[in-house]
Amino acid sequence: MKKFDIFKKGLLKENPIFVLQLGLCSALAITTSLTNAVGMGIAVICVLIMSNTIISLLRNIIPNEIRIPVYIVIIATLVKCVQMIMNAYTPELYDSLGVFIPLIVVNCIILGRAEAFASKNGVLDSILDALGMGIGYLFAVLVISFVRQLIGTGAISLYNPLDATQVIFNIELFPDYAIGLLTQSAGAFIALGCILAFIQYLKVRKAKKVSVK
Amino acid sequence: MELIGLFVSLTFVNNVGLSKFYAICPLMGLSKKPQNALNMGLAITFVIFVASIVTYFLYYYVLVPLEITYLDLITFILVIASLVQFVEMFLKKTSPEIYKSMGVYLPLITTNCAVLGVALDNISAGYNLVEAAVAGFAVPLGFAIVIYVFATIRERLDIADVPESFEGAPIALITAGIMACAIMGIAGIV
Amino acid sequence: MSLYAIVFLAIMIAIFIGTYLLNKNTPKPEGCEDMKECGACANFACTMNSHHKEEE
Repeated sequence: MKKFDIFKKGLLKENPIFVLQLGLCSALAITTSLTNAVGMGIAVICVLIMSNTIISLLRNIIPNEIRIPVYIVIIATLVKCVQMIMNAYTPELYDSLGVFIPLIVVNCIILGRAEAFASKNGVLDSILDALGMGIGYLFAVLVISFVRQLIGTGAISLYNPLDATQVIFNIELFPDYAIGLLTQSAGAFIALGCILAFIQYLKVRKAKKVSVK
Repeated sequence: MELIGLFVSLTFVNNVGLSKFYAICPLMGLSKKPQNALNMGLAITFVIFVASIVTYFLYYYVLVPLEITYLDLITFILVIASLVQFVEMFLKKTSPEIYKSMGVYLPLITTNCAVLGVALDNISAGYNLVEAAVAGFAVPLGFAIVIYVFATIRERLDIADVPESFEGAPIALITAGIMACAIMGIAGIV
Repeated sequence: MSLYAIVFLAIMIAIFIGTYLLNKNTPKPEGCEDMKECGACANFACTMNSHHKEEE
């Protein structure tokens, strides 16, 4: 049960975007479509699992004095590997995510989890933590991109991230009434602001209920 | 003339915080006091300017001749991290006054998307040395302006009566969204 | 070719670790020891994060 708690906390209670507000740069920039969000989410999960595993395995070897430089080197190497793999196998996704793939290096989630969790815990726990946090990130970017794509284009579509010609679903709901602003940068801020406000509203309501009891 | 166009485009139209999202973390967290925001802006201007020139030289005079351009990402992050450490040490030794005001923000800059983002953009956009230097100055200048203006707005928001659900991060994000709309207006001029 | 890459990378990493250790061992100037910590982001890896203070 305890193992499950490690996995679960990244999903909602310590969600990296909605609660900790880490790594907002990529979360705001790539959430223009569901396809991009899925691709970015998977890339972040891969890097996070690999970095947590390696750092957890090496945690007793890395000298404590220089641990942060070592983490940065490990993470940069992993991100470059993921970037090259994506460039080779998913060229369309690679082009649309652009500079935000290499910028995973400076994404606070990866370094934060390495320092706060993987450097102190065993391999299995670290992998579970990485999975939880990664899926929490994926969930958050999916929510943001769903809102932005639905209101911004009036349609919801998802292509296969591995092959951009393969359509998984494409539903046009109200293309004539779309608010184009949501697909632009200003819309990203407003969409995330409203989502965070909604989460805060739920929290406040829950706290009030508890205090009434 | 082209350089002026590049300067304006990078400072305002493609503003690093509001339209490219590179420097959101400090924009959200640090902008509570205008003076802190300004200090952070100065620190980041210096680091980005030096980093964009150093990475330019390393890329075109070391990585390209040796055909090891696949090391670009790791080289850039190491250059930025070393630079930040060096600047911090230099400030500690020489001018405690400047360290006092800017030193706190230096460790943060290592993991700031903006510095790495500018270095990578300079390469992918194929800038020459002068253009890279202009970019290295224009981008952080845009950031400094935005973070300062944003901090002054948030100072007023503190005393405003914001709905309970919107207090804190949500209203800050929506303010940033409105500022981004203003920036979009400039896109029509250039 | 790969030899160059390894040597270059080793130099870069050595420079980084060198400056990191030098900086870490340089004492903070007077009046800055109890500087207010930075709360800009929840990044645990940053040495200015409150997380590090608890540890020490």
